[in-house]
Formats: sequence, structure tokens, C-alpha cells
Amino acid sequence: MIRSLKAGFNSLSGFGLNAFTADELESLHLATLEVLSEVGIKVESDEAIEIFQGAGAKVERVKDYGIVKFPHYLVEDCIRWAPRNVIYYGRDSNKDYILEPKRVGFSTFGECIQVIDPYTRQVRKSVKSDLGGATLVCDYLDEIVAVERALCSSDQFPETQPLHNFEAMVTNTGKHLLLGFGSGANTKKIIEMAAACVGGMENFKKRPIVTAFVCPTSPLTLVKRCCEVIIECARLGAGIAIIPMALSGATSTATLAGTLVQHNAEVLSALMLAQLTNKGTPCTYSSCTTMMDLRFTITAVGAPEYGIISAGLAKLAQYYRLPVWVGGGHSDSKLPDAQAAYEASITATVAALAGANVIYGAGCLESGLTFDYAKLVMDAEMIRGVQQVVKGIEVNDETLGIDVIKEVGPGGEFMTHPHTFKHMKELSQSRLFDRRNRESWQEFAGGKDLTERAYEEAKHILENHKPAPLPDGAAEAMKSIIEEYEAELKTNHQ
Amino acid sequence: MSDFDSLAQAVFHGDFDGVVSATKNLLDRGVNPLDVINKGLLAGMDIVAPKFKAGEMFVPEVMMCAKALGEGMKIVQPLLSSSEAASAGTVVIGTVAGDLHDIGKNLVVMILKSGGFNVIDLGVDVSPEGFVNAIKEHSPQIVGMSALLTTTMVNMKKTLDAMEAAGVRDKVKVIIGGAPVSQSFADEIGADGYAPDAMAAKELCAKIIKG
Repeated sequence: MIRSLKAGFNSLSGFGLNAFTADELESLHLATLEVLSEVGIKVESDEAIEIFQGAGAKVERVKDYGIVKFPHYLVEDCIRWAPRNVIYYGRDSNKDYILEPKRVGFSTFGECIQVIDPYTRQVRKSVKSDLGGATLVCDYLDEIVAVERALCSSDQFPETQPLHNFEAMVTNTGKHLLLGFGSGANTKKIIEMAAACVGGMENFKKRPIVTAFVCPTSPLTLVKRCCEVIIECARLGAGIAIIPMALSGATSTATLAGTLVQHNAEVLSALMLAQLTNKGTPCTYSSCTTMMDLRFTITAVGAPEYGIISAGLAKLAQYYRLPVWVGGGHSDSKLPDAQAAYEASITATVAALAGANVIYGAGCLESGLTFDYAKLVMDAEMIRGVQQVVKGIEVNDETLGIDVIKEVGPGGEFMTHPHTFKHMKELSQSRLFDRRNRESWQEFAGGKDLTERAYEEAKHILENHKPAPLPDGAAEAMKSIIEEYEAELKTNHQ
Repeated sequence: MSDFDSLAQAVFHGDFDGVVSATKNLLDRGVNPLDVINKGLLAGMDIVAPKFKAGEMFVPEVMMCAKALGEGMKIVQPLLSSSEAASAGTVVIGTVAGDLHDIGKNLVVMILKSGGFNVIDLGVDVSPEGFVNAIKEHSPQIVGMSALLTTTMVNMKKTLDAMEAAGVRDKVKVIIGGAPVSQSFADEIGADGYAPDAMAAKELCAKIIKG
């Protein structure tokens, strides 16, 4: 049969979800403009206040801070100045990741302070070598598109911890890195270290391999250090990911729409500071906003609301045509157990269907306090499943397979048909999850449950994977930057 | 239901008007003001505590109870003699240097006040010297320190060191709290106690005062 081309046939590429109508998005935007112009943002940095004032914002001075109110035109202009597509450059250019509308990728959660030791299974404080290990596993896993600082180097001097974090991360992966820099002074040092890893500052400006996480404080505050980091990054050519953590019911309204508005105002205030400092500074619209469980005063990152808020903000970022990074895949469980799996899957799936560019939460337990290797490896398998869902169902002559159905006919079989050979590998395959029958599971997996197999896989990666090596001299250069800086700080402290 | 019970129930339900009328009703009938506090108002919080612990109550509900209790206290307190008005104890509290988080700390302040403690709230980003000076000025039995950040937790130890250096460490019991803080961290830095939530903090303070 001749099946000719169809003219102007509409097809959908992949599954997605609609969170809002155009009217609803407009309402969220207008409400945000009203908050920014009528309520304003508390800004605790004189330099930032001056930058805002110079651009036409109104400033009311109160003690050592200012309440900054933004005219609508300033907000709208700055949104347009921010780059549309942002590339997360890797030290290894094969690992570059482009953030543009609706491309979906995943990363680890940051800020964990504890780790379940994969060898002893005891929960303990995380140290610099743990961050190196977590980063190494992220380097190995294709599902992780950029590496967020998974846990902290609690064995290092607090003031310079971000430098140690960066050193541990850049040594163990060729992928793009994201972490908090802590202060303006640290920003300069970290960028100096990054430049040493890419052959100098000129190269860094062309291909910045690190993005700073900056956190507006909810409600509606830009603290001094946050402003410092934004300003320094903008000047030195590094991008920022603006990540408020509003807690619905505690630091924002208990209604999710109000939480979105406040979160949006916080992101846009930081975005304006970056754009007014240096037009065109890459800004990733980010979120770890969720609800507070008001029975336990716990930040509930395993709650369905976490995924819902992430999806809503992804849509809002797409409305502004900004790259977007949101939460999904975390858990409040203390163990890599069934609760962890359910919570991670729900929030990650919802955020992915909304088309967020990066969804972070892999490896995270206990409301963001504890990192676990087994969960990271299990999450990677979950992510493959989510990506399969996002692919959706392609509808065309080849996939409809009407001629194949005719050929095989009633009572026939498809297993030996060439069409099956051609397409069977497009269907999902399990790697770590077990789909075998019980006897084969006993034989091949020793009857072990998923978590055990995941720890084994993680240990195998930790012991065998080798990241792309640093260029000659980079390790030594970073070491001396840290040593000199620590010596300088210690002298100042005395 | 006894009149004390109805006052306690009004506190439990966060019913401001109910607390005010039940308190006035008891006082009008000549009931001892101390009994109004202990058998009525504080008894209301005693209903709240176990329900909160069991996860049956939301924090805003608990805060509402504490506020309702405060309304009753406003009426009773002026009637107490100075010896009766003595508080359950004095607590100096603050979030340590470098840390601006105060939701948890504010909750503890509120719950301690509702438990009859005299609370001196130093606010956020309190330097070690700030704590030392407050100890000298207010002579509290207890000092509470809060931190939310892993990078500011270390300032709890610095504050303890400053207390030691100023010679006031043995005059107070120091308790700590905050999301990244734990009993083992308290042991490690030599704090006298740790509480995982606001209700537990009140119980801990009561235990310390009892000795």
C-alpha cells in the first residue's frame, strides 16, 4: 500500500503536562510585579542597593539595610537581558549540557551534611573525600548532567570550605559543577581555581565550568553575602543559579500560588542584580522551595507538593524563557527504603513532565541532611524510567505498524518479525531493577534486594571509575591558592 | 466539666475569648490566681504537649494555644504577689553568629514563655560576646543556642569557649538546637543538653531547673 506524506500533521514530541493556562501564568507574573513594586525586597548590601538605585529602583533606608522597590519596566527589561539558553560547560567538552526550554536532565541534591558510609552502613558526618566519591559516581552516571555539590567537607575550615568543595569536585568529574561560593572573596578564589583547570582566565570566560548557587532568603531578602557572590560572579563571567527555599506555611503562604509568587519575586530580584551588574550574565531560574510540615516543623522534600511546586515554577521559568533547575527525587526517609523510592519517583516524574532542565535530588535522604550512594545509584535507574516516560509515544506510519499487524494477522506472533528486531531496543531495559523470574533472580542476584545490589554497584564505581584527568599543574595551582588563602585568613584572624 | 477544665480546653482550642472569659469567671469567684495558672492555663498546654509529640497537632495550632494562654496570663499576672510571680526560670536564647535563621528559635521562645519561663531573646547572628554579655546582665540559669547552617554550627563551640574564657560557663546550663544539630554534636562540643523540637526544649529546661 502507498502511504504518502501527511501535510501539516501535528505531532507531539514526548509526554508533558500543563500546569497553568496563559491567564494563570499572567496572574502569577502580575502578582509578582505587584510584590516587587509595592512590598519590595530587603537588601542588606550597600553595593547592591546602589546598583538597584542607579537603575531606577526606589530605596527606603532602614538601619543597615534598604527596602528596594522595583518599577515594572526594570523587572521586564532585566528578564530580557538574561540569556535564553545557558550552556553548562564541562571541563570535558563532551559533557557540556545545554539548558533550553523543555530539555530534561537530572542532578544530585546539595547541602547534605551526613553520609551513609557504603562500607560500614553507619551514618556519619561527611568529609571532603566523601564529596570526591559522590562526585566520582556522578561522573560515571550518564543520568547526571551536571554535578551539584552533594555533601559538605565538614573536616575543613568553615570559611574556606567552598574552596575545598570545589577542589574535591573538579578533580573527580569532567562535568559542569554547581556549588555555593559563600562570599565575594571566596568567589574570586574559586574562579581562580576553575581558571587553573581550563588553562587560564580567558578560557574560563569562554567556557565557565562552574556556576554559583545563590540563595535569596525567604521571605523577600537578599543578604549581604548573597549579593556579594552575585556581583562578583557577574563581573568575573561565571553564571549563577538563583535558588530560594521558601517553605509554604512557614516562610511563605500556605497556599501554593502565593508561594510561587513570592519565590518568583525572590528569583527575579537576584536576577536583576546580576543583569544590572553585567548585562547577559547567565542566570538559571532555580528552586528548592517546598512545604513545611507544620506538625513536625520539617522541610518536607518528599511531599508531593515539592514536585507540584517544581512543576509550577518550571512553567513560570518557561514563560520567561529562562533555563530552569528545580527539586525532585529527594526523600524525607532516613534509609534508602520504599518511602525513599516512592517519594523520589513522584516528585521527579512531575518535575520532568513539566520540562524542567535539571531536576535535582538524586542520592538525597532525610530532608536533605543525608547522602546515600545506594539511593544515588537506584535514582539513576528511576531517572532512566522517567526519561522513558518523557519520550512518550511516537505516532507515525512506522510506529503504527499497520502493515506489520496485517502480515502477522490473528493468532500470529511478532517475536520473529523484522519490525520487532528493528524496534525492540527502544523499549526500556532494567539494569539494576530486577525483572527476572524468582529462580533466575536467586541465581543472578543472589536473592538480594535492590538496596544491597545498589551498594555493590556504587562500590564498584567508586573503586574502578576514573574521571578525565586534570591538566598538568592544575592540582598544584589549586592547592597553593587554598593554602595561601588560608594562611592569609589565619593572619587576619590573629 | 469543671471550670478549670473549661479554661484548659479553651487554651487547647486556641480560643482567645474563651480563655479570657473563663479566667475572669474563676477569678470573680475568688479562686486563687496561682490555681488559675496551674490548674487551668498550664493544664491546657499539658493537653497540647503529648498531642504535638504524637504529630496530631500543627505548629500554628500550638502557637495559637500559647497565644491564648498568654491572654489569660495578662489577666492573672497583676494579681500575683511578687514571690508568686517568680518565673519558672530565666533563659537567654539566640541564633549563633553568622546564622540568620530564626523560625525554630522563635517557636522555642514562644513555648518557653507559655511554660512560665522568663525568656530573653537575643535574636539572630549573636556573637559569642553577645551571649557572654547577656549572661552577665541577666544571670540566666539556662542559655539556648540555635543554628541551622553546617557552617555556623561551629560557632556554638566558639560561644562555649568564650563563656569559658569570660568565667561564666559554670554559671549556666547550655542547651542547643537546630536542624543539623544532634545529641552527639552537643556531647562533642560539651553542651549540657539538646532538644529536637520546641516542646522537648521546654521539658529539657524544666528538667534542668528542677536539677
